[in-house]
Amino acid sequence: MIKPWFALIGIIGIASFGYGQKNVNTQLAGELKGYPENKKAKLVAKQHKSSYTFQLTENTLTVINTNTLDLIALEGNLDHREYVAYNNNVAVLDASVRYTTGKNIFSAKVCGNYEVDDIFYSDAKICSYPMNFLSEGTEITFQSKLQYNDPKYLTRIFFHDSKPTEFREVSVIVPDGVEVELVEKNFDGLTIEKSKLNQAGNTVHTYRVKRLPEKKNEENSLGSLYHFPHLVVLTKSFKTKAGVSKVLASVGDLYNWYASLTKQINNDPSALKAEVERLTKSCKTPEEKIKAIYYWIQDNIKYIAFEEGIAGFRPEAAQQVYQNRFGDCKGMANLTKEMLKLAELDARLTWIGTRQIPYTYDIPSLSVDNHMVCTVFLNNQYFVLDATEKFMPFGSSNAERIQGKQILVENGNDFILKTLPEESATSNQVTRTENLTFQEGALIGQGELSMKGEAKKSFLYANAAVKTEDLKRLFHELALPNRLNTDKIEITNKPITHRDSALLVQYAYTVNNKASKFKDDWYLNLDWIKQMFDLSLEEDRVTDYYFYRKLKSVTRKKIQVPEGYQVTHIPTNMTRSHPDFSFEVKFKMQGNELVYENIITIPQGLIKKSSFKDWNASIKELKAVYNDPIILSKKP
Amino acid sequence: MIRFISLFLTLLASLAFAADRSAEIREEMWNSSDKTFALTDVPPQWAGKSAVYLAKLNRFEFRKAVMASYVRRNQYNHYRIKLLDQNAITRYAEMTYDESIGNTYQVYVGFKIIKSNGKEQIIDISRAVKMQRESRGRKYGYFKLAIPGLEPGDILDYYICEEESILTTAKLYFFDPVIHCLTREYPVANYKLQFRASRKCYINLKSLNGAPALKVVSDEKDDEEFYSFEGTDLDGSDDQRWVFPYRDLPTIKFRAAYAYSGGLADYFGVLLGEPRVAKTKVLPSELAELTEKMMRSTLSIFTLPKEIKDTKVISNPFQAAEKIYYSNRHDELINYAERNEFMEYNPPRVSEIEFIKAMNTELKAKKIPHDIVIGMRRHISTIDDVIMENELDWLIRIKKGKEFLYLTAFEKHTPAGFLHPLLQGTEAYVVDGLVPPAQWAPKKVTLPTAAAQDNLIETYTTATLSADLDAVKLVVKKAISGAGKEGYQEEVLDYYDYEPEEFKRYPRDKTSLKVSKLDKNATARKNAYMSKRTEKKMESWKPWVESEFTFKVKDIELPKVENTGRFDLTTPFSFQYTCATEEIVQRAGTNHIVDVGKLLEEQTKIKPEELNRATNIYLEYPRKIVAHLTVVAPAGYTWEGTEQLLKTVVNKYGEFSAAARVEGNTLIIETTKQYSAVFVPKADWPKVVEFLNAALEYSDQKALLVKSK
Repeated sequence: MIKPWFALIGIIGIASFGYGQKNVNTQLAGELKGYPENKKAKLVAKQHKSSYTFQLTENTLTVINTNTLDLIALEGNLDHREYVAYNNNVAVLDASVRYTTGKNIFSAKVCGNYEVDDIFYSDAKICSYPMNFLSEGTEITFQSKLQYNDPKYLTRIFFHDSKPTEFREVSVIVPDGVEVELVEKNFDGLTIEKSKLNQAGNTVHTYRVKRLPEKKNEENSLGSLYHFPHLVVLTKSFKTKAGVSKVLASVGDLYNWYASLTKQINNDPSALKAEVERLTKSCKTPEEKIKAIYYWIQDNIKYIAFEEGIAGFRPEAAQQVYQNRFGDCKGMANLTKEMLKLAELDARLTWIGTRQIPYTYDIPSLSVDNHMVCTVFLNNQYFVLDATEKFMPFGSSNAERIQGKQILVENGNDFILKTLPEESATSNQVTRTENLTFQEGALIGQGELSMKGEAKKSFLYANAAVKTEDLKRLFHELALPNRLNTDKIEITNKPITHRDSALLVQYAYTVNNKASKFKDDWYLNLDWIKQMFDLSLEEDRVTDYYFYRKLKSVTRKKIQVPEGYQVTHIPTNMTRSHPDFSFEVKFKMQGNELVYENIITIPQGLIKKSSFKDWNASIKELKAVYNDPIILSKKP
Repeated sequence: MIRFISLFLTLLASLAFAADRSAEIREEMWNSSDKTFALTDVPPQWAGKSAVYLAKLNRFEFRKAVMASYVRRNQYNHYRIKLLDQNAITRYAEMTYDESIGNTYQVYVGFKIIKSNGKEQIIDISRAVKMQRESRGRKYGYFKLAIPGLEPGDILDYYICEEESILTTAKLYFFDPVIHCLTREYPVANYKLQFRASRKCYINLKSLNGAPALKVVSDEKDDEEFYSFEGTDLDGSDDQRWVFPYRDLPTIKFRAAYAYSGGLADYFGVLLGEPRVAKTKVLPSELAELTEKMMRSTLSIFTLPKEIKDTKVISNPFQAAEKIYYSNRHDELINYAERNEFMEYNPPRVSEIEFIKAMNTELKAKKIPHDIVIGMRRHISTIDDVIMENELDWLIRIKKGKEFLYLTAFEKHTPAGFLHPLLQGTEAYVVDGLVPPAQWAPKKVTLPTAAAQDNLIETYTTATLSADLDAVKLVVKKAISGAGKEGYQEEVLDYYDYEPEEFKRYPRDKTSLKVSKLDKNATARKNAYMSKRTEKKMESWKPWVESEFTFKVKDIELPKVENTGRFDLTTPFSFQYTCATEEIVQRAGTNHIVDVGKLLEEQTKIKPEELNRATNIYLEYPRKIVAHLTVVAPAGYTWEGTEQLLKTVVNKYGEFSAAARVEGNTLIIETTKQYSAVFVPKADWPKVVEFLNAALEYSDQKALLVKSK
């Protein structure tokens, strides 16, 4: 009854048909399937060659990047897309899809803005090129050609791809007169063959590597810059008839370029004056002024990121951010600086790479930083003010994501480099203390929860983001997570949710499903939050496991043994100490009370890949302790 | 040069028009006499809310465009919302709206903030950024606008209006129907829902569930009718489980159709009524007329199976109808399934009208008594509230005395006798399929209702504990019948699981992937699938099994299908699979605790905030879930605590019951969870919570395993 329209489909079918088995290399596909690194792969890059050719014209330097990717399918009927990213500084000159044997394939590319959750608008764009590998062993070649209009925007070259790569070659061709340094990162443990040849007035740097596994995007990872080999490209200068032009040869050059952009900001302090006066009129000390301004910006300026061309590097004028009540990190840092200056404080713009960038300013590259803050100098001390952090108190530690990072602070024609201190895990400590009684199946508790540092900050974000009518529920969830509708919970204090105050939540509860009775014995689980209970790490994970903050969790519970009962079993204590983590779980009787203490510390907030085995063994042990109940038996 | 000037002038004119229109719309939206759009205060009952709409207007317009082949559909949305907390500020700090496309789709927007001191600030929309995607020369775009300076207590007053010209060659054009639920996440102090239509438009319209009554105003000047619903003080509503919003919350249904002439409407039209008169009621005779018109305009033919064709007098109409049904399900769907899949055509399908037309023809040919049933699914409205044809369902019922066999337009697994659960228990109209349409006399009937027992999911789980108690092997057999069966069939079966039984039953040539130039690619696609079939099936099967349990499982094997259940309504679809876990036995002192409750299916958890229920409860169908759990301990162990594994909570809306016994070293648990009703008044929500809580609490039940002395 339902007949397809054969005529049209016939035409399309015949048009797309043709190269049949000519494009198929089943033998190679079979071989590649046998390699362990290709075990889960559906597609392999047989060969991936990239070249970056610096082109010197009369007085400009550009870079042409060509990529040739020979792909082979390890299963048939595989739909795949290749992507090419571009922006205002990088143009796509050409891209093509063809069978490796030569015949072109029509690929209905789709191009458009590349949208990232945290960024309202950027000039980042992407083209995707679809292709279908009809049979196992089908070979398709994807080629692309891009142009960097300004060499400082060519910052990094990676070797890995989203699929395993049998052979990877990267060549960087630098004409005489152009000074380029290639900084090798994460090359340890890999056999990367390198060569440097002089050919017809060019220096050709070539890197070749075989059998690269796929580059995985793993959750809770510090990011690819920490793990995957790459080259940081430092284009330092180039020589033309007009003389030597500097690009970025040193941190000084980088600072000068940044400074040249900040000079272009047309700040109008008069537009901020009344607000600064209003905010600081009752302040008696410089610290109070800083707080008044810093907190007002945190509270009133929404982070909305625009990254378009040069605007991705140049802060928006302070008065514009002030009027808009929104801005990106640069705009907020600049507004902070301008308002503090009006309050007669020494405030300066400051560049910084957050934790996801493992470089220091030894590397003069646009890839060294990704964030801007404001530094205020006071009484021979300096304080970093990051107004994008909504609940960061003044004068204490910095946000975890910038701790230990180097800052580049403006200093007129010069600059200052400093390194921010690292805090300990205790600065983020979460402490839960509870006193419990047990009444025939029900656990009745009174407790308090205190949170510091990043832990408190995360909660304050949630507190500010939640709807007014859901606020009570948020505190209930904090006090007694994942509760049943038959459990009872009440918050007994009025928690202060200010960045400068400690967060302390006091509560009382009754829960009913934490005890089981067998004959005359009660089996109780005292800790139902079970920190880290399910966090065994996959051994085939490539990257270290990152918690996004240093962790310290302390839980102390006391339970009164009910009258007529005695404790006949308590779980075995557990203590594990490792450079990456420590677990300390203890049970002990104190008179008629059983005391439970659980202290977990992840001092760097990071479990290294090399520690996974020890971590998993400890988690297994921890899990056994959590699952082992306390047994209350009737006294004889 | 003349051409260039002409183009330039046209462009200039069109830009000027757009600017004028933009100004007109702004004037209308922001300087209207509507006083509700000047309100600034939140009614006291909503003071603690995140945000409150002070005023809200949604207006839809339908008319003929000036140009001959176009109709116009315009939509004007105007909101005045007071933002009371940071959550609301964050939501409204970034707004999006579509980009205009040529002259056929124009978008007009305006945003202004009213500060608490009354100062108004109009947002410069030229600062919006354009997000664009381009494919095959066509561009699609939308704008993102950051709203500056928002603070709690601010009012955001904004409009987003669309004016669209739609090219049509049809002489009778049906605009997309609108089903508008008035309730929104935030409370609404004042609202207006308006429809404006040219007098040549036919209007279907209905106000439901306490939505305000219709007001009609004639606009003689513009030769238009203006339909308006206005109301105040509408509470907000968060998403809730088990609610049919169109049945429980104030809702308006609307559809407009433009006819070039009344004659055309008479000929082509369905459920149209008269121009200028809002049609709010559809008569049974109109439903019959609609059915006849739709069947008349459909060309579809089924084939009679030879044994039916050769039978002169049908003695068992049910049996004969089933044979026709399954034979044609095979011919129309299964026969083409493989070819369409690998030739990358759309999957074969038969629409309801095609189905009843073809089935009616064959049934008439064999004089098999039957009705054509015109029904309406329960989650939309009752049949008395129907106003548009797209709300309706059509099916066939075979008659044998006072018994009926329902035949629904088949999908690849649909059995004869299947009646969609949302049609069950509803009122519907039937017309006699054996009499000519001219003699059709629609009769109202109530469609039958299945009992919970008819929609049964039975699970037989054997959990065998290893000698060291560290590991548990699970053998799980499931048997599903009734309304839930098709979902499981879709999950578990691929085409090659049921191809053999289909072609054994209907041994005719398959419309296959012929080896021709055209089909070589399809054959390659098939070969690719077959070579990886196990892995492909496991890709979806593994997460499905993992989602069945609240603990980690491993060593998951693909299911073995015991009965596809595809040729009979009551035969369950049954399959068996195995997996293993190390998560349900814990050491407890010298003994071990087994989380037996977790071996049952994951239970529904009603959160504390769900206890206060503002809406009635609607379930798709009644159902019964029975679990037979056998836990085998290694020799030398005995079970304790099994007396706690007994539980019974039963009320009129459902039940949870459990029984347990020990046989040697084996613990046997049987549980039944049942949803008995499909509708529960909100006052009785605690009764639903009661049996759901019982089931949830049971999932925490444990049994103690003691080493025999």
